[in-house]
Amino acid sequence: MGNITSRFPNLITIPKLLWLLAGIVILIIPPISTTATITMVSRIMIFAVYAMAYDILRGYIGIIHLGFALFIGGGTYFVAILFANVGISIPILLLAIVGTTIYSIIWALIVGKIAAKSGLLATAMITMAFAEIMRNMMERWRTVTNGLDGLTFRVPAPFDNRTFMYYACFVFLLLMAFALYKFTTSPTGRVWQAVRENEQRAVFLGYDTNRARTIALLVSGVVAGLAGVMFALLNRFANTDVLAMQMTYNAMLYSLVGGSGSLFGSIIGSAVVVLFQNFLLDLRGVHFIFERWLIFFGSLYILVVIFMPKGIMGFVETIRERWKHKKGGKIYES
Amino acid sequence: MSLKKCIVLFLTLSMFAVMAACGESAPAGGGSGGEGSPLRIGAITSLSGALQSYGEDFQRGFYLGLEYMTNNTFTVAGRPIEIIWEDTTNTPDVARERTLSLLERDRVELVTGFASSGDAMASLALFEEFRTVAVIDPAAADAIIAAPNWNEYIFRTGRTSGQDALAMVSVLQNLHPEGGVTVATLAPDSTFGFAMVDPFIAAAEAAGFDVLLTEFIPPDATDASPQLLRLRSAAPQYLYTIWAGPNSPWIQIDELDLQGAGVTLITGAPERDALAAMIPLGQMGGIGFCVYYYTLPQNQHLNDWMVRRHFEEHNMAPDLFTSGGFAAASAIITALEITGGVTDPDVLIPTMRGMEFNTPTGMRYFRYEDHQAMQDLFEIDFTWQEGDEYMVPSFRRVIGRDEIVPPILNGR
Amino acid sequence: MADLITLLITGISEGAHIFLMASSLSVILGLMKVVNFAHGTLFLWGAYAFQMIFNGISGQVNNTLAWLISLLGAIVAGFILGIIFEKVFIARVYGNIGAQILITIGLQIVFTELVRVFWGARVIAVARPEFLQGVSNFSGVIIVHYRIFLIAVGILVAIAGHFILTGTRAGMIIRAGVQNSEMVGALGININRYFTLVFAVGAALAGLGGALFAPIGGTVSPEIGNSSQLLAFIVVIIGGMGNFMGSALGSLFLGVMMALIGWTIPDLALIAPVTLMALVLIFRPQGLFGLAVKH
Repeated sequence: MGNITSRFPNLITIPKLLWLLAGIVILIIPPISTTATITMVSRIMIFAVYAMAYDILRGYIGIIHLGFALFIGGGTYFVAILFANVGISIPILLLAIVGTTIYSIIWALIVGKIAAKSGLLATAMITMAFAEIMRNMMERWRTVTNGLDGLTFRVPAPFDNRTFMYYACFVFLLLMAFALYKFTTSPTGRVWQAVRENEQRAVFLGYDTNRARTIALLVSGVVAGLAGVMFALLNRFANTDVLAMQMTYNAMLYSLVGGSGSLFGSIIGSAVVVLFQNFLLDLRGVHFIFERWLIFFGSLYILVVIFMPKGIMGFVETIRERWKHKKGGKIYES
Repeated sequence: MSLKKCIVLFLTLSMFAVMAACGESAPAGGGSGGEGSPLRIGAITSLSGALQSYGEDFQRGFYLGLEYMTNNTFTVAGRPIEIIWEDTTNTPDVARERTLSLLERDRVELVTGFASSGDAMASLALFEEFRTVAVIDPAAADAIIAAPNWNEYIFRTGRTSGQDALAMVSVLQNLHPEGGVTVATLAPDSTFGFAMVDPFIAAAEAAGFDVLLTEFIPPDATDASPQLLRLRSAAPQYLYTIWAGPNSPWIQIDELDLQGAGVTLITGAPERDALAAMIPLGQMGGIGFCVYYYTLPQNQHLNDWMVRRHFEEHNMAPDLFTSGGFAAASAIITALEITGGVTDPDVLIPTMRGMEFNTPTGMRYFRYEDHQAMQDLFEIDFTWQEGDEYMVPSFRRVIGRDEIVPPILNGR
Repeated sequence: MADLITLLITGISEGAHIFLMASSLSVILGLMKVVNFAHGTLFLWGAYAFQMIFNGISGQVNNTLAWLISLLGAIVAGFILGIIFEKVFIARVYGNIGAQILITIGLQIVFTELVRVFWGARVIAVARPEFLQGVSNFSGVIIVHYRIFLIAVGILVAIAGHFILTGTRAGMIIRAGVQNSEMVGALGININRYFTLVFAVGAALAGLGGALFAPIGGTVSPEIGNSSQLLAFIVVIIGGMGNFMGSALGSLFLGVMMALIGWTIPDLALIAPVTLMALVLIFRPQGLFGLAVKH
């Protein structure tokens, strides 16, 4: 392998081969897998987008949004309510998307105003309150939402085809990842990181931190809202759990496990956590201790924070640093 | 791209590979199975989270039901029964995925369970898609048998909220056949509370009762005095209290002496541990209806058997949802004995429609239009004597299944 | 009128029982800047420890004695759990709010599940001690003995806490630490030991809160930790973060407010507390009474 790669350093590299392999794997999963697997991977991809959006706030600009569920919940409910009450068609889906975007923008602006004048903790608590209020409103509006029992609805073709939905999620993931990548590497993205490091210094350096923060919230909120739309299309069901604190905790966990501050980390984190949960649930038949899967799941939160605070990406980085020092110099990079 | 991304990507791909390999583990065969092939039943319910005890009760009842109905052979029509249990974790989208896994990876021929209505609702469409009959118990939302959620693969042995409401009204009618009394409701401010109150109001008013007030308490509240004080002022003759979970209002009802103000309490009997919370009401317990309490069924050989066996196996009496598990098992075995072990829905669904099956509370049958089990409930007194560990439901009469026929909501 | 007074008394007693959990949360938040989402779990374990002991020995010894022993058990359980939480988990994540939230969420999930493992998922009935049972009626105003007791305990804790914080050296160090822990450390005081102490005492207080709470509704279940926790956070916010007396006033305010809203606009009862918290944070972040400790 070394000979080929040294002769054609840019053409065939291990990293590129791995990406290709990854792409192939993802593309061929549907034909060779069960529907359950296809649905699970679709769910992973949607949650990956949700986690990336959360990490824009947490890992880039440094806001802890304890009510983040209200974005994904909003998207899910727009689709659910419109499909269940108005009709099922692509135009209505587009209407839902427009509605979600406006809703996310409004909430982003509100939180932006608040975050500008409140500290980290205060913003966290306020956003938590907002999500609770939204959840309560949806519960009260049970004639339309059916509260905790939830709404079922059909979805328009071709989204009712699971394989199509899978590829749609994949395309969605690629698009959102690309868009967010562009944002984080843009000048605005750099300002985000500056704000996270030290907001006062960023202000002194002349950056408009409020504007940067607002943009981060808008981007993050709209993306999470769109993830909600996809979530509704996948599940064909919506209930108030989608606005509950656990949904926000999910975003926090996925981005933490993957590595905060890295978009790729959020994708990996979602995959790992969802697979882990499924793995635990699969094991319940093996030994009764796994019936109490919540203990393992809760421990995941604890262990990751203690042993892998920078997530998987950070962990790998640490290993790589050590390896680099051991080897004394030659780093394999593309 | 950096090396670290390579490594992570590689590890993730390996994970996917392992996962995909595991995903294909379902053996070939099964399906509508011929003579002797194992019958796989997927049982999925809340085995962790807030409704864990309901799921566990269902589990125990289901096993006992299978034991009884198959004469301890655990085979039906020559086919040995295999049960695969799944935990919905009380989260609808997990419930949906695990159901999907049962239907597809494990290729179960039948599904049963669901303690949480949300979990059930999220999975309903799958049964139609995979053409697999599902027997639901005890998730009680009316929405499950209503359009557009219902489909013909869904059968429910558990009761529906509409039946509870009618049972309560039937109890009142039995006391006051001419109507004209005043009632009020007290329920948690939640989907569950409203799902129970709405059909009750409709039925009560239709029967000529006067609903004075409907009060709702935040489910986590430890203080219901605003609601109770209002109720005491309004002094309805009967107060229908609906509650599930901790922080029940009984103690405060007693403290604020609603019974002294002339209010008679009526309620649906909850599970045993919640009955213990009713003790403060003392000897003026009240009247109500009960879905199941182990001493209520009269002349029911099946119930006697289940109670005895349950004491043997688990050292305690069967509870509210144990009977439901038994009923689900009974429905399944009864149907399969008729079809000779065939689970093809084209054969099974027509068989189960209108089918009668035996349960600890008596014979039930699936209503033709929406496959909801028509079943007897019980009218009871709440009695307590010094030394009782909990408020004991004591038999007054059977509320016949034809007295409590809920409206058909699926458009048929 | 009598009804209104009854209502107010109940509201105040509600405030008292929230105070037990919120007061410790407030000091922990103020002193150690620790966001503890597992505080409700300490409350939960206190309630279950109480229930286990009280239901267990109730037949054998004098009822009041059994009750006192059970309370002690709850306090000890809270204290021990608090030390474990602080030393093993929370001490690692000082200064990092995000990590604190996540690790304490993990603790909450694990320890709530452990309650289900040890005691089952069902509700368990808990009775009041006999000498506190009963109701008195003063011309229409209903006075529930147990609730009056709660108010008394709340006042006692408020006074004791205030005295400790303002009248003792330890209290002075703690208050100084809330303002500026670095400076305190620079003055040669081992502020970390105080952190552990404050956390453990706070946990014990939360445990006591759980033990006193259980007999109000008459049942405990694994879910009671989470619901009480949110209310405690709300009280901490409206009372002013870091301020002990603030949390006392905040609890009182919240208890009475919930009673009055339930009386006048019941539809809002569910979201009023959380909305109040948001409004205070937005418009008056120093707390409703302006008592938040300035840094």
